[in-house]
Amino acid sequence: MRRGISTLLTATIVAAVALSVFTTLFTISYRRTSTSVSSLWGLIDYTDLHEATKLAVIVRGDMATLKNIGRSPVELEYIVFNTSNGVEILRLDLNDRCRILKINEACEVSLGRGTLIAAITKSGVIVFPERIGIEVETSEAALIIPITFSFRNLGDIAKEFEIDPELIAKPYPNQRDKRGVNGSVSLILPEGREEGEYYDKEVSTISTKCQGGGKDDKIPFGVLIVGYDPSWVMESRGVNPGAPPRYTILIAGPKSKGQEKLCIGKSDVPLTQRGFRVKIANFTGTIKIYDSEGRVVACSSSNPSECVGYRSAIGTWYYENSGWKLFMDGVASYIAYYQRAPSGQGQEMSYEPFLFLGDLDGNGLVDILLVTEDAYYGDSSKYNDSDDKGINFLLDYSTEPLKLKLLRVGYVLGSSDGSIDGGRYSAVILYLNLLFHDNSYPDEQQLEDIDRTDWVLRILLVDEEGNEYIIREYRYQEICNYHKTVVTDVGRDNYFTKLSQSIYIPIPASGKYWVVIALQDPYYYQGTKNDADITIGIEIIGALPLLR
Amino acid sequence: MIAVASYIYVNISRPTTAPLDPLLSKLDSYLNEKLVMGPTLSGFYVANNGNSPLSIDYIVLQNTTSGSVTVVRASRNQLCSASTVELQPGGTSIVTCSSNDLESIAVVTSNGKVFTRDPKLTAPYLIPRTITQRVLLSPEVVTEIGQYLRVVGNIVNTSIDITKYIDSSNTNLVLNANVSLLIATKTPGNPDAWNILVVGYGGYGPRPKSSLNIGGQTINLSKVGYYRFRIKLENFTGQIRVTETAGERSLTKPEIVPNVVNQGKQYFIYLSGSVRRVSVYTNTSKLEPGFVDLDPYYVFGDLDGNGYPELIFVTQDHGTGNKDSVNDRLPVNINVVDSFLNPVRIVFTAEPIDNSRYATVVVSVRLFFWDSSEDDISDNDNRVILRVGIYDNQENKFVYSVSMSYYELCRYRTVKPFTVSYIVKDFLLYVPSPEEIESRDLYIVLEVTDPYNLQGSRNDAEIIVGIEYVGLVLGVRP
Repeated sequence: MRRGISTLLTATIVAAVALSVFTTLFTISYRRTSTSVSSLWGLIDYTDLHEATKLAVIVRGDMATLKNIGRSPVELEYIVFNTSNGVEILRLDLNDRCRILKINEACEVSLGRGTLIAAITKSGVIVFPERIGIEVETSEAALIIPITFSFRNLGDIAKEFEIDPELIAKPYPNQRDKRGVNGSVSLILPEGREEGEYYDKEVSTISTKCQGGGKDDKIPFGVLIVGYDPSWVMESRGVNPGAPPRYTILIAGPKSKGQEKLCIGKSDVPLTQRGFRVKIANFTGTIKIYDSEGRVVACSSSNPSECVGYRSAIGTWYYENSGWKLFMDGVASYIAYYQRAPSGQGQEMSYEPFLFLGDLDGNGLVDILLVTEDAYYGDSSKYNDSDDKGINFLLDYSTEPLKLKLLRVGYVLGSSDGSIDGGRYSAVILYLNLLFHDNSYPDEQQLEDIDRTDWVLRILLVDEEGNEYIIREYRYQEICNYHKTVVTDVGRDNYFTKLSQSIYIPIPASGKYWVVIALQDPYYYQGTKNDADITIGIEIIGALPLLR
Repeated sequence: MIAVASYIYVNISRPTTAPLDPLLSKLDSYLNEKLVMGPTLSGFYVANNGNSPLSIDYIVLQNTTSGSVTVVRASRNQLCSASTVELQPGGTSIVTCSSNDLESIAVVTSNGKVFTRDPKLTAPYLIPRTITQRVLLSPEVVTEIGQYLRVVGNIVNTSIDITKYIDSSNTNLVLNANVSLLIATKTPGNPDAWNILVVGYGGYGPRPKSSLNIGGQTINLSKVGYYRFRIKLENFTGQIRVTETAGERSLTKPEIVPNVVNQGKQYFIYLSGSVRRVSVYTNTSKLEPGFVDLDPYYVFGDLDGNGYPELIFVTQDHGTGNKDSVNDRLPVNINVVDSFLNPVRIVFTAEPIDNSRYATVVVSVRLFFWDSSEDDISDNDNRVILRVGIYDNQENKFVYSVSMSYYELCRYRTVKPFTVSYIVKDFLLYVPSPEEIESRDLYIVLEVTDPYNLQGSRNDAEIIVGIEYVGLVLGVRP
């Protein structure tokens, strides 16, 4: 639309300049030769003719339809084209179909020569078609509003999607006001375990290769998620295409069985307590994943020559019993080390430790992931996220959903509060590109393990009073079809593929409405069933508004 | 117009008292003032396309329900708000009104010039209320599919060799054969003709001898195609008769006849007529694996009679299997498992997508899927079968894609008896902006593959995938 107008404007500004020059010359020449009243009558006649002659132009592909929408018949003599060779003037043959146009009559001209800028009538009126371009653009394309998560941090995401700040606040110890997620033992972010506040400058080294530590320079993990850092995605796809890759990393796991450590700055952090999570942003360095035989399975590095011949480590890696280990060495601008400490018992968490923001497949779009999985899979006779001893420290669940309000839809439609006007729009078609994973295994028996049909993803419509209307729900039993819990054949087999879903949202006939996406992990545990921990990801949403 | 005429008339009727220069300069600025108005999605725009700054003083509103007309101050009123009232040349103001019933029909500038909105100019704007979907996989594109397929060399990996035996054009043909699978579709653009794929092996079957006569020359198919044969017919006119357990019947409508899958045994077919092109691929005696081009593994034509031809990729030959057995094998325990080395890529080059104009697209695909694994996900890993994306022809890479993998697709079919359900999927695709990847034309790409080439007795699904309709909706860069 904007381009349509700008094309139109360019054409008409050129036209207006021409007209004003013409009028000025006309006026001045009359002033010089004569100032008599009769000359001014001539001017008025011309002005009248000019105002009375109107031509609409509808451009469709290479053809333009000229329609006389003025109040008198018009005889066209010339058509002016802007071509690659400059301005060309076509003189219309006396029997050309466009030569004489009665009121409301139309004819077609080929635009093979270029764009049509003006037509000149036999009586010398220059007619500037006022709607060049607009129809072409709007009729061949629809308005599909793209909504992405390409923001540098959760704070910016929260602003864009009006997320309740308490649902994504960091879970520091002894704070009782966090809401959203709970578990058997809560993850807390102890004092001294957070490095950096700013995403721009590198503040600390982080490595599995500790000075003077154990002989192993790798750590086991339960879940590892590696993505391109949003700041790098934006930089490399904009001002600095050659910038070496930077990564964002989430590591989750149980208490380590060995002496493995993570070295953050000068301090060694043993992987103790009842489980841990590390979130690392803006990491410059090398990440390698090894299999249980000590072979490199995947490798990603800010210095790509370190990883020649290896598969990329970008993506999700699940489960402690895969035997995979992580080597990493580099610097980062933000590091948070969460632990499941006894002191965290009973303290409700927010979604913050469970959210991941990064480009998971290198396509330039930042994915947002909710990950409650930590380390293990399970079937109906075992807690899913627990070791063989059945210790359930790692089971997490939502106490209230995380809601993302799609304000962008309303903003693009021109409302300052991001709302959709029900009087104007009858519906919105929403396209979502999603991913999903859970830790119920084997997949053939996941419906016996999870037999409660709870929702994990919901599309809501919210009115001005805050009433919510459920439009579409994705319940576990539907969405579990789209994933594979355990993967060993890395590269060919897939935990999930990004899937595209389309949802029709009818909008009531009056009032303001907002579309809201809600996410949750509805499962804690019932015995050893209904205990799934999950991964839900959203990459891009497209909203196609339909006029009433 | 009346305003300007009377203004000038009033002034020039007093020529002795009014000096002419100020009048002319007033006229000049008056004539130079030029505005256009038009609707936007949320209201309407007023654009200054003259060459001097101007200011909007009043907006004339009409209530479309009651017909009443109200004139309000543009800068301050209860009904509508304008993003700006001072417009530089080229500047635009967006006006939004509190009620949908209010339409702006005119604006008045501070010079007193009135600009009206011509309803006839508004009419064409209603066109975008319906959404244009372009058909990418049209009958014409399907018929010329060779132009769009990006397949390099011998893409099909076979566990037992198959090679080209005959490739003939415009000939008569009689086929008497024991076959495992027959796919008979209608030729696009010619409802009297058929496009057919016949799959079988000559060594066994209900009749003692399979034969193929092309242009008067008879081929002993039982011998030449002892281990396997695939016969592909394009634009065949004539008789098609199928003899199953229930007896003989003539084929009048398109059909997939999968008897080994359903009955566990081959059946007999008789074809007699003329054909524009026939290609025959066989294996007489070679038991080694091999590679062959895509030709005998796809057929196109209308299968469901709706006028849109299906493009059907077929690695299925004979029977079915599970995680403990090889899916596709001959009774003599020879595996006949085929897979694609790389996905078959269809680049829809006829519809370039300019990334400076479009930010998203939605690709709608109607398709069916069948595979030969009785125990679904126990037999096969979750590999990607179908991928839809946006392709950069200059860099030869996908800039965005989404895919469908086995775990989802296997839920849309029954292995035995052979049953497929057509599904329609909408894929939202992101078009990277010129700031991200430079300004260029991008293309929609669809990829199909059989990624299963047998590991032990697993990962051996044979597939039949039919792509029927591919539609494209462009989303503007807002």
